Amino acid sequence: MPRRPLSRRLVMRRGLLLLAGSLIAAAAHASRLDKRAFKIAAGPAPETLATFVQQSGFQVLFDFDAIRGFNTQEVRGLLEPAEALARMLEGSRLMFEFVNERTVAVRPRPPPRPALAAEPDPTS
Amino acid sequence: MSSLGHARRHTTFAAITSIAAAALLSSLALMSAWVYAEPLPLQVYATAIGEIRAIVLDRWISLHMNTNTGTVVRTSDEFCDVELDHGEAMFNVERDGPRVLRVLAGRTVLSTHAARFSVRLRDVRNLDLLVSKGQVTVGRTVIGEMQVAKVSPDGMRLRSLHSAEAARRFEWIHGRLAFAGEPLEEAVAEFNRYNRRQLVIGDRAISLIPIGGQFGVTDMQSFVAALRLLGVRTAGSDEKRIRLVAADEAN
Repeated sequence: MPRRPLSRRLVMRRGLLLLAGSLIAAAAHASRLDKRAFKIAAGPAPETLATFVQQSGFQVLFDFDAIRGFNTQEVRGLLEPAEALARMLEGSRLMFEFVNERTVAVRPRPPPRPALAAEPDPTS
Repeated sequence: MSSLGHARRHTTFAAITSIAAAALLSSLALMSAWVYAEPLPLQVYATAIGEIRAIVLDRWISLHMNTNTGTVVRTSDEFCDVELDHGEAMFNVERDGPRVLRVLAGRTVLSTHAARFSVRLRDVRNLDLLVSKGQVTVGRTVIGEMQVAKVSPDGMRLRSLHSAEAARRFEWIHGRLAFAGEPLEEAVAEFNRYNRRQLVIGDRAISLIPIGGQFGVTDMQSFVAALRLLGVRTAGSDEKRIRLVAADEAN
């Protein structure tokens, strides 16, 4: 039995269904790579990180006392959350680490290891 | 055959459109009836562990029930009485409504004509009240905007708070826990309110770590995973409990 050609309406309907399906799938798979609009003023890290949580949808954990003395940079624009957080922490001596897809921990950078003292020359 | 098929498709399309329109109109009618109808005189609401629920009592009064909360609502022409049996609820009362909201929480009665506030009943004699908008009366005391009241058998202690702190304390409405320096033992207690599997601090050395950040109320796993970077690890966990110890503690 020959297949009946699809009508234009049917094609459009299937196309729309496919598009809707793709959009739903894309939304369901929103990840750390999704760009978002950020507008975070420079300021004390505990406050700016709270704003980052609101704007990124990420979960953030930090030792409150360990980071309360640090300030972060202003960040504006359409960015991936990790990029926005990296810009915020630039020059602050704070670092972040992904715990899972949507969770990061923020902490101070460990102090640089002191250069090894020159070994005494056994021949001298 | 072709024109007949076309006509049939047309008829089917018209029928589907009519049914959809009728369904839409019925839904709108039901919704408006629900929004504008007089509330039922007595209603009982409860949330399970981890559940957060929004309830509209009438056009002017609504509430959010936090995890593991029970309320009984009675309405009359003059009053909307909410008995908070256990748990925590946030109330929103719009100005110019016909009813005064009265909340009975343990042995304390609160009332307001217009306010946004939360009540957390710790036990029958102890509760926390936070007012972020308007005024709430407790006995002869009026608690104003951006004030917290702790009610206990010793009396009532009042303190002011900033809008940022008020917003942080209302984060649970959006399903999040927000911390700003609370010790780990408090953060753990908060998570335990929303989850059947319980976190247990197995090492006093970690109980006072000041916690900052925000987490989904039921995403305990991510919280525990992130704690590893703060020097906390799990030990001896089972289906009911996750035991937390200092990362450098010996097995």
